[in-house]
Amino acid sequence: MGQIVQYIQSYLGSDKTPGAAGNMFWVLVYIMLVFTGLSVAVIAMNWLERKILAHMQVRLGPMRVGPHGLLQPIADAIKLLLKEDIMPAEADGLIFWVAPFVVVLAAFTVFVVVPFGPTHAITDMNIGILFMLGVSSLSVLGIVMAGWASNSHYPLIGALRSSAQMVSYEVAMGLAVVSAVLMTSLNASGTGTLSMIGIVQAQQEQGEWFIFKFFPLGLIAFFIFAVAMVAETNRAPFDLAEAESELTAGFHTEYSGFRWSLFFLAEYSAMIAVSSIAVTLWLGGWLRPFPNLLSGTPWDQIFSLFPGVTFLFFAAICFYNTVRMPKHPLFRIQTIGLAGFGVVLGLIGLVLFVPAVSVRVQDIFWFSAKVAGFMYMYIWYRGTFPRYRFDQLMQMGWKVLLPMGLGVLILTASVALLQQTIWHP
Amino acid sequence: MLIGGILVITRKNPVHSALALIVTLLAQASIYLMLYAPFVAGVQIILYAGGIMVLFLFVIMLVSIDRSMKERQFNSQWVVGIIAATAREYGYKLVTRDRPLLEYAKQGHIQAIPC
Repeated sequence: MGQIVQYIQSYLGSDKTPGAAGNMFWVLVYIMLVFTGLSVAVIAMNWLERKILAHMQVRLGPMRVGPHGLLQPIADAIKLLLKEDIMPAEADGLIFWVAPFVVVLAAFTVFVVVPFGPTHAITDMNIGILFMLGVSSLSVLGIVMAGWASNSHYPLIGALRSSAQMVSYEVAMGLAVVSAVLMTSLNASGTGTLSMIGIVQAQQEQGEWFIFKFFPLGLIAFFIFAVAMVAETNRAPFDLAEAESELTAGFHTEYSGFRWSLFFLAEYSAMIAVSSIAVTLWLGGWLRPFPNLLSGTPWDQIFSLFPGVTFLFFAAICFYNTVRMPKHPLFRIQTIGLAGFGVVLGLIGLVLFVPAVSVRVQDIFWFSAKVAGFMYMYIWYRGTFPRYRFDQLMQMGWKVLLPMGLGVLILTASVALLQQTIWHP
Repeated sequence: MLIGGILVITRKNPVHSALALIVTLLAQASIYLMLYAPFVAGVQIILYAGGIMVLFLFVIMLVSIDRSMKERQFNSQWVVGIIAATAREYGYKLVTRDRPLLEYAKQGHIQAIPC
């Protein structure tokens, strides 16, 4: 017993990730935390997407289940779990059964290397970014399997479209990533890294997020990645694989109930995964904004208040809407519920003001806040851009993004070489 | 990896074969990992499992499955084939018996690359 406690405690003073320190207990704890956090994020995204899209289209969105539809995703999840699991008679049983699990596994395995903070990651691999790109590219296999095994025309066409799209945009994505990895080698030590934590530490050391490095080269690479990642996750405006007006629902037309919800889960967690790649490579990962302009101890303290302030802000919105609730007796339970939700958010915010907590949590907060910004962009794209035609999509991928990516890569390499040899030898 | 490889050549359905090939390639990537070559493993997953096999599946799915299911998979010369393969393997043993590869490595022609 004492040995076990000692084993658990031995990690606490460490400055490494639990995977790198080789402590199995904390690895398991971190995996559980990341998994639950991700599931909660997907549930929250479900509600937010419907609400934000609705408000963009001047509708109300879900309003019935819970105050302002807050319990709608839970109701949806229960509905999906209770639904009958239908398998088409002519379907290829094994592949039909395995496909959703392949997609979900590929989407979740990626989070092993996502760095929420210098020590807040499950593990740190020295091939981190390569691992993320490789494993997330496996999800296309699941989609193809699902489309083929359904033995139906719409899913097959959807799967073909989606695989063609994902394979062609992966190239542009890879080139953009390489140009960011090149920038990591401009340290004093002169060696680059593929490790996710190493990439953020390189940005810290160079005192500059890679999106601003060699302006506008970093920005262009980031732009290429930002377009390619929307295409890679099959989201609007690149959602040809599931174009409702043409293919009913694309590759998951024949799926129902729990299996369909697995596809849904995988899609959203893949969105979070690619956003966190973008945040890590170009937006400085867990680093706080304005590290140079607003540096020094007072500014550090002000920025450490941000997590608490954010939650108090959400709590304030809740209370504001509680006051605005209709005073009719029918809405009493909803009003109480909303007030209770506000109280919970406010308490979380107050806990985050405790210095001991805020120091440990603020890197996670900044990372999640940046990823949340990307998630909002995804919804925004969906609300504003019309869907591309397939030939336009291919033209964009191969004739615009790919040459741009190559050009940025060459220019980044040349500028980096010039900087090292001529300007600052 | 062996199970995957055997499944590739014994499945009648070409899509099942291709999926078994993916399993084989992933197992190969894990062998690279066990040999402390994570970069090769990562490249293996991206290129083969993520890129080439998707194109394989892409093409196979456009082919009519029903017709290829009816065709015979093995021709009648498989007995001769197995004998020839065994003979070749035996010949290889004969040639390398006196000069094992390990000795060759000890002479410094092959070097282990430290990671």
